[in-house]
Amino acid sequence: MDLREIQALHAQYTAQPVIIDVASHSAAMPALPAPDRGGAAGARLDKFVGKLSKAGKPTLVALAIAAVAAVGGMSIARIWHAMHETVAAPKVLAASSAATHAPVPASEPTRDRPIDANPAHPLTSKDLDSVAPVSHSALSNVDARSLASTTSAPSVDRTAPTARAAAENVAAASPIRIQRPATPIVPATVASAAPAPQAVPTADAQVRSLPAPAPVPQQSPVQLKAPVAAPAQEAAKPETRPALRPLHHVTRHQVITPSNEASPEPAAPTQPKAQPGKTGDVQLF
Amino acid sequence: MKPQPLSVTLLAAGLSIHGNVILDHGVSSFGIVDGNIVSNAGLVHIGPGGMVKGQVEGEHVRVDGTVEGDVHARGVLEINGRVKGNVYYYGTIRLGPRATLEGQIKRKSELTIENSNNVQQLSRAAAGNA
Repeated sequence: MDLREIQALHAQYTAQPVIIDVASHSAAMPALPAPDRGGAAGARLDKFVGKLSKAGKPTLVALAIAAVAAVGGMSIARIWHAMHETVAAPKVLAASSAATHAPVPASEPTRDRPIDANPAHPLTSKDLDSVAPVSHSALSNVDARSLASTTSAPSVDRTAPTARAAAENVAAASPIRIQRPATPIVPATVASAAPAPQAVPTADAQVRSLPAPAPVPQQSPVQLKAPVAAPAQEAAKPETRPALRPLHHVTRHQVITPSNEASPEPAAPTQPKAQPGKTGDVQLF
Repeated sequence: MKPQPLSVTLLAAGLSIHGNVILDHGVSSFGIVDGNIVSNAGLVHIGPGGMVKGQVEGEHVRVDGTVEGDVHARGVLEINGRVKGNVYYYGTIRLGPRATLEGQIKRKSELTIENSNNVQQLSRAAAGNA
């Protein structure tokens, strides 16, 4: 047994000291990889999902119970509704059949009935026709004829004053129309109290003197038509004269507009001249 | 920390030592030692043709010769020779094809107090001093 073998034998049992060389080890080590944030996010997500799964079970159970209750309630409501309909359906059918078989008075004013949820019969053109003349729209008072006469035909002017006079009579009865002429007319009445008898002959004189220039109505429409309409109203309704006073204002307002229309206004100029005879009367409201 | 160079004591054949041999490293003995061989570290190798008349204690013990006494090994014990005595080991034991044992093999722990009489003596000494 030579020395090499003895040395090899001892080397086998010799405890090799542990050498710690930090510098060489650190140099030999590969670069450390950067911490993967995606993995951390994934881990956090896993934890979050785990927590949700833990906390989600009771919520899922509660949601399931709520869903079952909701579905049950809906089904019960449908059943109840269906049963209610089956119970109420014959009544409706009977009512409808009675309504259909019953003689329907077409001329009966349906508007006098109380509001009925189930109309006895469906609306027809007759119903609309019967209601139509009664109903007043916003433009119902507008005289289409007068509007048409302003643009086209002067021959229609003769019919227009009559319609307007009727409308003015209706409108003059309202207290609104009465209040307006109060302020401008009061001095006129006071001033015209003494010369009243003089004013009447003048009007009559004008009326008598004007038939000659009658073929020219457009130049002085006010004076021409006034004597014709005023006596008629005085004879027919003498008690309504105070109410007609506002017509003075109304006609005065309309005197401006017909200047463009070239349509004569009948009652406008005559009434102030007719008023002096009745100035002593008390105004009736 | 530099690795320490391997140090081994060689007792070649034709050598005879009367007394104990105490070492802090390995030893290979091919001679005749009339005494104990005690080593703190390394291998105590009793080579073929070597003979030890006494105890052999070491970190690792390999017996290829003849030992007339007890053998104590704290690590590995390999016997491929002749041993007349008890064998105490703390780690592993390996017996070769030419191993001859005339004694008992016991495995012990490192903290075993082998001689309780010393303890008693120390306690008596402590009591005598007080």
